Amino acid sequence: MSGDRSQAYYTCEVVSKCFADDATRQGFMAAYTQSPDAAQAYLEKLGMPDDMAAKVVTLQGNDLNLFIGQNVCDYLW
Amino acid sequence: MISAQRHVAHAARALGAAFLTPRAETALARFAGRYPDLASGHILECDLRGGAGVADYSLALLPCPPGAAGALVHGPVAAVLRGFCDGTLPAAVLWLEHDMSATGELGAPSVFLAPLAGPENGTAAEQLAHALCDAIWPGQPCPQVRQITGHLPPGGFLKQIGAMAGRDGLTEPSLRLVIDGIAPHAVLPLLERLGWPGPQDLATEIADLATRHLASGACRVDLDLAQDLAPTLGLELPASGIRAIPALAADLRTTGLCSAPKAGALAARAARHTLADRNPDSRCERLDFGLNHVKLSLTSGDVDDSTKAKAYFSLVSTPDFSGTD
Repeated sequence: MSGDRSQAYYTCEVVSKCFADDATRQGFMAAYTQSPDAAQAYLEKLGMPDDMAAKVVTLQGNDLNLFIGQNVCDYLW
Repeated sequence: MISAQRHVAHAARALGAAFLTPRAETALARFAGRYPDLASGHILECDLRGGAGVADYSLALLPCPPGAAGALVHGPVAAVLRGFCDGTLPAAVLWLEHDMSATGELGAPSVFLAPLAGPENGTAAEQLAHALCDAIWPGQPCPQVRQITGHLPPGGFLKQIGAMAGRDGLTEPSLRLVIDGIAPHAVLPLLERLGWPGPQDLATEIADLATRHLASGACRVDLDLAQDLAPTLGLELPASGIRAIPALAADLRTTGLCSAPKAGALAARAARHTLADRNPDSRCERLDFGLNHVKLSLTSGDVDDSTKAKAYFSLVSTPDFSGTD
């Protein structure tokens, strides 16, 4: 992870970009359901460091939901 | 990443009858619904003592379009919000917090800012302190946050700095400082180093509670700084670091800081989960809700009920990946 930026920061940053508009959101969801490699590439394109992206794409379903929810909250509060 | 204001009604309902009266639930939903959809998250804050009551409400904003500030709030807080949105303030997050009266009314907001993290944290905190003071208490001397940030242990940093502008009778500059990265066993040494003037015995009690129940990570220390430090203190325990919520709830109940119904409700509602009420317009969005943190606080050293415990429940909207495994 680079510099002083945390896992919570990058999660929030990427989720914010995904929510920017419907096209981005749908592109994100499509990449995630396509393959782990496609998902990782998409996350890196949105600014997530490669080591974190590699870890995130191992999560699926509710585990991924909880990971995102926890990290977004960690960043906001 | 916007979490629509109408979702606050779902969160209020999810808290249930142990925490909120029907009147407070309605007032909360109605009040939150008056804000435009600009917030990234919401917090509902409940006292753990007594029966069903009210909840304070706060919303968290990430940098937003500069023109949006005027749509959110008016008066002195709006000036702070404009500086945040146009990027002139070195802040990552802004919070507006409304206290709810016993009759269910929500007043003017207090405002909090997150100074940028990293080596510039202390400088950013000073800049934000002056921006808050200039907006809320123009012409009056601003508290010197350097007397706090200059004495933090390694790992400690200023997470939030705020002006409790919504509190009645606060006419002189006073800032709430939330210091993150403090291990529970380092709280009392920090207070000693800062010359904190509050009651040591009560501070020891809540620091011991934090030490018993935090399994990992740090807690946050809330201090109030006017020209000098006030004898108030808050310790925030992140829910993700608490060893077992039922054990904490039981401990709080034993010490008189939590009623029996709320101890049960706290344990039942703490885990982060998806609210059943989804956004019908966007099936790939989920509402993530759960306990964010518990705060133990000392509001005064000379009254019987100066120690309080509050639960902070957070709501955010996130992509929904259920069904992808």
